[in-house]
Amino acid sequence: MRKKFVSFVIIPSVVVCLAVYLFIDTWVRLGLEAGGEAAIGAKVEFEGLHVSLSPLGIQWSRLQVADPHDGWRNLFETRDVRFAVNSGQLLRNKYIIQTMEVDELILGSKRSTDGSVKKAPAPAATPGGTDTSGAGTFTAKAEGALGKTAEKSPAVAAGIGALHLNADSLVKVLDIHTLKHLDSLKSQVLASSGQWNASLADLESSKKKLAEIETGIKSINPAQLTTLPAITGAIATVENSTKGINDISSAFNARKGAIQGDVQKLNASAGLIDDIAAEDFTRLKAMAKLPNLSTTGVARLLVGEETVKKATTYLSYVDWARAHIKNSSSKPDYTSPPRMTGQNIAFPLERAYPKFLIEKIRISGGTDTSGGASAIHAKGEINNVTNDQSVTHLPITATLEGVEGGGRAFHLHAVFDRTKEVPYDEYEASLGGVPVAEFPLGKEDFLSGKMTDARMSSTVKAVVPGSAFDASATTTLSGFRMSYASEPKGMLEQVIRDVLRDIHDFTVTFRLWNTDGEFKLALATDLDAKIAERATAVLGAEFTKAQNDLKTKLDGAIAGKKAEVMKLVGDKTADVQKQLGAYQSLIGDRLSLADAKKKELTDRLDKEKKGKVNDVLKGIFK
Amino acid sequence: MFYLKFIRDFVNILRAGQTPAQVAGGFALGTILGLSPMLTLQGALVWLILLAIDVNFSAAGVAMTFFAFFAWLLDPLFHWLGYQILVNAGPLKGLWTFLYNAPIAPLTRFNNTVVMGSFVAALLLFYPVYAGMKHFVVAYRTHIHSRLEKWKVYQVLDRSKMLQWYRRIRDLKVSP
Repeated sequence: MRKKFVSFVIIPSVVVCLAVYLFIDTWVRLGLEAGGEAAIGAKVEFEGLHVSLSPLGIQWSRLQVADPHDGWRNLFETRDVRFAVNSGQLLRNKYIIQTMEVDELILGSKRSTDGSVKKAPAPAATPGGTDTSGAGTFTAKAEGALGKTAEKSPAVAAGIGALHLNADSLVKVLDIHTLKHLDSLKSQVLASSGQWNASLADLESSKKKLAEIETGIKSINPAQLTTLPAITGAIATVENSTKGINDISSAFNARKGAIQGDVQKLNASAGLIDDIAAEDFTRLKAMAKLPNLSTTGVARLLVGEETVKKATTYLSYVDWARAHIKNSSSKPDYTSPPRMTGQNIAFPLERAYPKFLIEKIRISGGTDTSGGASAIHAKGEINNVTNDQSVTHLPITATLEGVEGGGRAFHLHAVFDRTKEVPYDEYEASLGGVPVAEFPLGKEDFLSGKMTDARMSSTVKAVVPGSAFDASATTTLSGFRMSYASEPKGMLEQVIRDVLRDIHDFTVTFRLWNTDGEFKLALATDLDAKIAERATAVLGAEFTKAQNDLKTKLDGAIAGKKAEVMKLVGDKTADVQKQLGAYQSLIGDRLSLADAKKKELTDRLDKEKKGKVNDVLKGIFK
Repeated sequence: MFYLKFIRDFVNILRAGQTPAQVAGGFALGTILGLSPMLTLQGALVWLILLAIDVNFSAAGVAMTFFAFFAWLLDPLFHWLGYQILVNAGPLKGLWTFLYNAPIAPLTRFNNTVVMGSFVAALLLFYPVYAGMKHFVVAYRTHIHSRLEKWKVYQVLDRSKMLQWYRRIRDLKVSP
């Protein structure tokens, strides 16, 4: 043993160990704070951090993580947190934590000091940031569809205009499509009627032939026929007559089919009259500036822009999860490594651990109100937080719920599955009683204003398998007040403002999906129906009278011609149907006559044949 | 001056001072450290042995420097050797798997081809280097140095500037 080994190695080692023991808490705290600040872009502060060596673990009494977008508010803070690190795996440079106990998780609490840091954080590193321009991100992909939706204002008339309108003048000016249709229908009836008459005239010549056949058949008297050749000849004549009737019947049926087709077309065309008249009425209302308040779209105009803005923000959270929760790492290929680095060979593991794993984070709720009334106290569990799910074969799951003094409550369940080749994310969240200080409304040129003091309740469900996306959300806003930036522009805006004044809640249903490649957005709300319902009440009898007046005038303009054409159609079709029926009966009668005569002759033939046989037998036995 | 001190001490130690075994032991341990990559558990153990037992430091330092250069040159060979031992040596696979699952063994980075190849090479060279160095020190002290002094070439060189420089280094007083 080297004599100075004790003084030069062992004593310094003891001193170093002692220093580590005494200062490790500070060093770990400073390291975690520095790392956290670099990652979040805002102050990360630990209080009462203590590193225990047996079992190896860390605990702290308070952690505050400032919001990078608002330095005076915490993104979240915790009270007592304890966890133990698997020391065996730590020796293998793996950070495995079985259970992390979090006594309280408080979201959005107020800070007593400014938590912003001077150096601006990388925008893409935080969810909800503004840098969502990456070409492959959901935010970027959806921006086009969302933008189009925001721009797509409903075709709302600039204003109702005067309700005291001159309906006669408007009807005169209106290009009434119904009248054109009636004229067209009349022409069709007349043309068809001409063709029918020609066809019926052709059938008249057949009538003569039928009469001749009838005479021929009737002239045959079976009783007068005494010889077999005479009877057989008469049967042949009747059969020829039947054939002639059938030929006439075939020709008749062909003509009848054509005529029936014409009749059907005319009836269908007549059936369109009411629809065309309804379209005329709609155009007449548009000319009169009468709004169709039952059409959807006003609500989209009101809340569309804000909803789209919120959707973009939430999509950035999805992008953040995709970027930061990585897919499984693949086995390294054989390489020719740089000098002195070598290649690491992997061997089968009895129990594989990823580089980093927290099997369970158990968060218990709390009642500490020092963070302000607006802070949310959360509780729940987050499981399998890891950097490599291909090793754990378990997705990250999070189930959180929380409440705050003001009545806000939320529930969140999320799954981030990277165990397979195609990543899969699923989110289910509900948020209730959220006070919304200000909710912008409308556009600059229409209903520009804001909704204040509203309460918002939302439920959201989103599924993100691979590059597909399907999210639906329902948001209810209630208890709000409206205020507008300027005086109403036009009667319609005035009406809608009056309506909104008496509406205290509405629901917006939102769906955003790209399952067939392109992002699509559907936005529906019960506000349209409410506006329509209330508008009727606000406008009352005047609105109804104006509408009825227009309808009466239009109906009056159409009624005369409509009655005339409908009578013409009815008469002509009834007439032709009657003639066709009569002809059908005639052919039927003649065919019956021929059949009856043939039967009579056949019976006569049988009888005659029988008499002849008896005569022969009598001659034999005489 | 640190390296000069190492060289002076090494040259001095070849002539007298510590035993040949101490010089050879230091040189052999330095060979292991020089050939192997740093920051491994076995490297730390060798350092501990070097610090704990009474072997020559200067010899270790010279060997470390000398063989570190060789290690850089022979890296592809070590990579190949390590790969053969880790991947193609079938009977050893069970041992590697056991060590891979053991808590501390991975700190040796034994599953790295260069670490494994260089360490095995260093172990194989350990005794030959130790024995060879020991013989060389003994021989230097008994024969080589006196024979060298008799050579005309040595006498010419003895007066040469080069040897004066060597002596200056040998007798150099390095301030602590």
